[in-house]
Order: sequence, then C-alpha cells, then structure tokens
Amino acid sequence: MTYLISKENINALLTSLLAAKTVYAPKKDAEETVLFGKLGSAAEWHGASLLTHTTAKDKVYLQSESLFKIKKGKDGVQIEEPAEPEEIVIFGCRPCDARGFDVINKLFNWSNFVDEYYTKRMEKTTVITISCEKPESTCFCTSFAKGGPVNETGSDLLLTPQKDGNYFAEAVSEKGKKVVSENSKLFSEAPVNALQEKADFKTAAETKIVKKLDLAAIKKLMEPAFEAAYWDTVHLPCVKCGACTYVCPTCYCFDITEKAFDNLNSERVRNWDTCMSEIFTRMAGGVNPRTDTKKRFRQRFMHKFNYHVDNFKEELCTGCGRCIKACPVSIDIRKVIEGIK
Amino acid sequence: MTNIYKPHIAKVVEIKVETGDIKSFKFQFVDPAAQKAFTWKAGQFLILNIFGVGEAVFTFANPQTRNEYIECSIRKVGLVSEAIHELEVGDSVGIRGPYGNWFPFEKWHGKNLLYVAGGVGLAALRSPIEFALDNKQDFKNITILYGARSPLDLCYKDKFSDWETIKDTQMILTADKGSEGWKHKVGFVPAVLKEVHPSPKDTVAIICGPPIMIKFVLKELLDLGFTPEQIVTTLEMKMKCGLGKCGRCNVKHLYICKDGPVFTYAELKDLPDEY
Amino acid sequence: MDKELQELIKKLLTEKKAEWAVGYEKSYDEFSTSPAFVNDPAAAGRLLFNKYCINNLGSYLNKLKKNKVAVVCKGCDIATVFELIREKQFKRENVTIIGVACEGVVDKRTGKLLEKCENCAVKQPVGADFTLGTAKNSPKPKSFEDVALFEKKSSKEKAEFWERQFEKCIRCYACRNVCPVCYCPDCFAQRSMPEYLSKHVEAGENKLFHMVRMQHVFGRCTDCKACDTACPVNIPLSLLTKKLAKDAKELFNYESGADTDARPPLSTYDEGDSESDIM
Repeated sequence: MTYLISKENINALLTSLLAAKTVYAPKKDAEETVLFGKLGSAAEWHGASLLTHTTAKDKVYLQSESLFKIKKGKDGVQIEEPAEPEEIVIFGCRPCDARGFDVINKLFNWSNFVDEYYTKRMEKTTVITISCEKPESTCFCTSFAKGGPVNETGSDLLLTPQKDGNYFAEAVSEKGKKVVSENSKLFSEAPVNALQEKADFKTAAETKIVKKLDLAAIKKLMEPAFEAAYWDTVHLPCVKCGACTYVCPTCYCFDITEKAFDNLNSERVRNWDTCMSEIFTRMAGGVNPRTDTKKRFRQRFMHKFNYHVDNFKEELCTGCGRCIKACPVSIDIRKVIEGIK
Repeated sequence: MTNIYKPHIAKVVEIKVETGDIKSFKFQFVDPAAQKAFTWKAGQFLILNIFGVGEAVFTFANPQTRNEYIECSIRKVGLVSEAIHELEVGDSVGIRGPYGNWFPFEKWHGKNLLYVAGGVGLAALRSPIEFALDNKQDFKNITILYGARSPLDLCYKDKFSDWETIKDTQMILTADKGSEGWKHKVGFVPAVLKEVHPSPKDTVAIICGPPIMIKFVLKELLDLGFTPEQIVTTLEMKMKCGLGKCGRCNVKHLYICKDGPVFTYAELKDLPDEY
Repeated sequence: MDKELQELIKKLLTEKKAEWAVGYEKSYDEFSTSPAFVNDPAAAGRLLFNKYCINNLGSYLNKLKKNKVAVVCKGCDIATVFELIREKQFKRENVTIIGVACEGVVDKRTGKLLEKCENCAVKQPVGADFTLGTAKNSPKPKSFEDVALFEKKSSKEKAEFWERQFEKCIRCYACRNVCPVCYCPDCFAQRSMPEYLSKHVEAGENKLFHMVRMQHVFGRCTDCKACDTACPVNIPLSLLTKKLAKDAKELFNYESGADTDARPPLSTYDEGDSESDIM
C-alpha cells in the first residue's frame, strides 16, 4: 500500500502518534549527541543527522530489563512478574536499524524457548523508518542480501524523501497500515512516478556507499583462518571495551544478575553484555578460556560473520557502521574481515 | 505469559557433606504436583536460583528414575556456590530447567558402558551411572573407573557398594596418592585405564573430570582402539540463560547449553584447544 | 614529516633498538587514524602523523611491558609515558619516545580542534628521545576557567547536569579501557565477590562507576582527554578530569607526568596538606 505524506504532515503525524503512545525519535542534546529519546512534541525530532549515536534497539531489547521481583517471606518465596509493556512507536530510524530488529527477532524466538520479554515488546512496537539519502563513509549496508538504503525489512512504515520535500510512504505490515488508516487525513495518494523516484533515490544513495564486501567469500576463508597469525597482530589496537557492542543494532549477548535490595527483596535483571569483556567467559573459581585478548577480538568477528551464519543463514550485522564511528581507536570492521586470507 | 526465566520454588530437604568443599543438596518443589510432573534425562542440567544472590548452572546428580527430589552436588568456588553452602534445611531456592541435551542411552542398548571419572567429575556422571544401573537389563557390562587426588577426595563413597551389587557391574577405584588403609589401586586415572585395558568392542566410553585428566584419558582410549564416536563427555562452559540466547556459552557455531553439554569426541575434535 | 618518521622507525627496528613500534596509520577515511603496531621494518611505511592522530599511544605500553618499544608521542602523550614510568609499569630504558611536533588534533566526532590544544604548552614536545618537526607553543597557559565557572553553579544545577549525563552512559567502559592509568587487571567494576557495582545500567550505578574511577585516577591522570574523546555518547568527562587536575594543582601543588620521581598526592602525607576535600 503506497501513499504520499507532505513534509508539514509529518509533524502532524508525530503529534497524532504522541497523543496515543510513547514515541521514540532521534533527539539532539547539548553535547551534540543524537539518541533515540522520548518525544515531548513533534518539534523535538531531530531529523537532520543520518545515524543516531546509539540504536533504538534498547527500546525493545532493554539494556537492563527487570525479569521479576523476588520477595522472601515466612510462608516462602513470592515471584512478582512485571506489568505488560506499553505500546510504543520508533520513529525516524534507518533501514539498517529496522533490519537489526528482524535479525534479533529470530534469536529470541529460537530453540524451543521464546523470550517473551522481548517478543511482547516487539509486538507492541511500530517501526517507522526513513530511507537514507546520504550514506556516510562508514556505511556498508549493501553488502548484505537484505540491506540497502531503501530496504524495508523490519519496518512497519517506510518513508522515502522525494525531491519536492514530501515523503513517499509504504505500509509494509499490518501495523504500518494501521498507522495510515488511523491518520488517513494526513496521507494522500502516491503520484504515478513515485516508485520510479524511489528507484532513482536508491541508485543515487548507493553510489555514495564506498565499500561493498563479498561476505560469502569472506565466510569461506574464516574457518581455515581461525588459527592464522593474522589475529595475533590485528587485535593489538583494540582496547576491549564494549563500545562497538553497545551501539550495534544486532549484538544481543546478555547477562542475568540479581540485585538485592535487602535481606528479603531482590530483583532478577537481564543486562546487555559484551564478548569483548574479560569476564564474559569467566567461570566460578576463575577458570577462563578467553583471557587472551586476541581470542575475544577474534570471537566477535567469527560470531558475526561465520557462526551466526551457520545457525541463522544471515550475518549478525546490518552494515550501519556505528561500530566504526564509536570505536575509540577507529577500528574498521570491514578492514578486519577483508584482511582474512 | 510463559516466562522462560521464571523458576519453580523448591525447598532444601537434605544436606550431605561429601568432601572438604563439596556438599550434596536434595531439593523438593513446594508444589508436589509440579515435582511429580518434572522430569529430565541424564546429562541435562538445571539452573539453581539463590534468591538475593543469583543463579548458577549444575547438573542433575540423580537420575530421572528417582525423581521424588532433585539432587545436586556443589563445590564451593564462587559467589553463588558460596551462598548455596550457607543454606539450611527448609530454605527456599528456585530451580529452572531441564536444559541441554542428554546421554543418548537409547542408542546404547546392548552395549558395554565404561565410565571414567576423576575427582568431582563423578558428580556429573552420577546421574548417567545410576540411570544405567536402574535399567541394567538394557546394557551388558558396566565398568566404573574412578580416581581422585587422595582417598579423602573421593565422592559418593557410600554409594560404591550399592553400585557394585548390580550384576555385571565393576568398580575400579584409584587415588593419585594412597593412604593408610587404602586397599585399592594407586596411580593416575589414565595409567590405571591403560592397565585395565578395556576392549572397545561394542563399548561406549563416558568420561568426565579435570581437563588434564580428560586429555590423557582420551589419548589412552584412542590408543586402545576407541573411535571418536565411541567417546562421550560432558563439557563445562560459563552459561547464563541456559536456553540458547545470551551467547555466553557460544563456541564456534555451537551453543553448549543447547547443542550440549553432552558431546562425542568426534563433535569436539574441531574445537579450539582451550575447550 | 611522515617520511622522516618512517625512516626513523625502520632504523630502530632494523637495529633492534625496539621490537615493536607503535604509531598511527590511516583508518577508514581521511579524517580518521588508528593505532598501528609494527614489528617488521618493511612495514614502517604504514605509519604517518597528522591532525587526526588523536589517540594517546602511551596507554599501549601497559600491554607491551616485556618488550622494547618505540612509541610515537605528541607532547601531551609524553606526560602519560612519564607517569607510567613513575608508577614503575616499565623501565625508561625499554621505551624509545619519538616526539612529534603537533599543531593540535581534531576530534573525529565534532571535526573541531580539541579544547586542550588551544592553550598547549608542548606543541613542540619536550623530553623525547627523538623529536621530529617543529611547532610553536601556545602563548596562553592552560586555564581552569571553564571548571571554575562550572563550580560556581548551584548544587541543584550541577546534580541535574550530571544526572542527565550519566543517564546516557551505556557502561561500555571505553573511557576506562583507553585510560593509560586504568590498568588494574581486576577492576572494581568487574568484581563479583564482593560486587561493588551492579551490572544494572541506570544513572545511579553509572554515576558510582564514574565517581569511583575518578577517585582512583586522581593525581595520576594527565588530563589527556582519551576518556572524553572515546565516549560514544559524548559525556563530557574532560570536565571531570580537568577538575581533578585543578584540584591536584591548587590543593597539593602537583602536576601529573611532570616528574618521574615525584610521589602523587594520595600516596604521600604532609602536615601542611589541604583537608578541604575530606571535610
């Protein structure tokens, strides 16, 4: 289903959405950081930056999700599950962010166990994506089968800017159709040449992407190169923080911990974790198979482009390039995997 | 909501001190119907919740044929196990599981079973040993070769006589260093294995113990003519969720909590050395 | 200067005066560089120096303790190297400091010159074994005016400001990991027995992490801005490190990195010491 929505009506759309649900959209703060924040009004939306500093992943897959509260009493132990999540809208993310949800949806629904904390939140989330006009030097979304500046995977409603400043809107899913039908006054019929304009937009945007990787060829080289001397030197600049992990739209590894408030009350929490951390694989008693920083560095790339592909037939990456920008020492993920021989 | 992280509530019903830092705990669900319905297969593991402290992974020490309670043998090494050792009878804990794969006993009917265990590794094998003994008619000869650093470090000493009374079952005990009154063998487990010289014909070898023991036992078994498919072990890795999501136990494309912890040596051969 | 640098590194590696050379190389575009580790003289051609060389390479010396290392240092990085030598992390004779004249470096996040470069007194590096290039130092001395201005804000304003900042923190520990003086193998933030810091990521815990880390680096921090420029969500940690430097100077008349034999304020006691920060 395709429509047109004018630039002015975008603000009206935001206002209408805000009235009914919580809307998360890029907001800029005093330190020039652009993050997905709760919109108080349509004017707070900062649409000028291409990518936010962190992703919208933490609105569905919370960084610290309370699993349940525990209360010890004299008749035993009570477990209190949290309230149902509320309906939210994620507005103004990019196709690479939206596709990130598609990738981790599969994990949280995998292997006979469905993580309902995640799936319930995802069900209540509407994703409105804006296509990318000016990819940056760090973008490489076109290296993926389902990637691209106008790709709709993971989006409910996809808005592509047109030359006249208006947006070509495509309702990709039932949720997207609902947004349009609930705000039908703001949407009009798409002009006949809209699809062609979108195709031109796509071509123009793709020319700005400087690098396209042959991921299938790279994967074939990864397994035999596991013990290669390459890893001994390529990991050296990495400081093994977690910046790349926490700004990534697809990284999903987590930890489960308990926070005790007092002798009787505690809370079980699921927190993001990073395989780059030294204590990720540390067991009780101190045994740790990955104390060597080289092994942790290698694990990240192997997992994203090799192991995950074996299990899910797609890479654990969308090519957004945030890891390259966030890395304190500017390590380029593309350079690392291209260097595998 | 089917909450995959929510544990069953259970109480501690019995505590037994096995050796210096190992205690065995018996738990029962507060809901008797849930206890009756709860079952597992030897080799699987559970996640024990100590409220206020955290969770940790332990194998089922007892087999599903004796499921009036759930038993775990726990060594005091870290934050959660230390808290477990402080528990008293009547205290509440949480149990979630069972997770992981299991020893495929269905495939081994009619075969000989050779168990090789070292130190606290016997805790992981107790469940498959007792399961096989409870179903002795399905298997031929069962041999249990078990060793520890010294006679004091042997676990489950009180069970050995029970096990040996089962037909065609043999227990071979050894200690790295003997002591007064020790009537059994003295020597490292791999050396004793070589001495015993078991035949690989129609036999499955199930091993568990410290990494160094496993390394040498593997060598001996291969020398004796066992194929990698005939050697089975249970792998230990840091786990958190236990259900294939959090990524901690990921080794190559395997998730130890989902594709393991029971593996044949054939499946493990290609993994990096540290595993 | 690049050619000179490459020739020097080649010479040092060939003559075995150093086993590893740590410098900068081009990264993903013309506005970024990454640290480069070279142990083969033939690979010295990778190294360069320009205004995008923002990382403090001194922090890598902690990783290469057992080797002889040649490290490319801007004037400000040299202070870090001296501070680590003072802390006995490695021996002076195992490090060859290659000082490079610097007109200031650009933050890749903003495209602007770092604030510390505007009144830098070591654009022409001092204390290196080799010095390449020439630059004129800034006539203006380092001022703590911005810190003093912030100090004048009301408690409520300051609390709100930092609450907002720590709300953003994602506990990636980039700040800690790039910090040259944060090299504890068992950081307090990662302990589980006892658990000082919950893994819960929320403003309160984040604040605790940053405050404790600042306490741990007081008197040792050379205000190199590595933590500030590393933060993926732009938390102005430089405001805190500058405050530390100001306090060290005003309360204890101490400047980190200046003297390899000095004892920092928190590990010595003098009867005349200020007690304003304790009461």
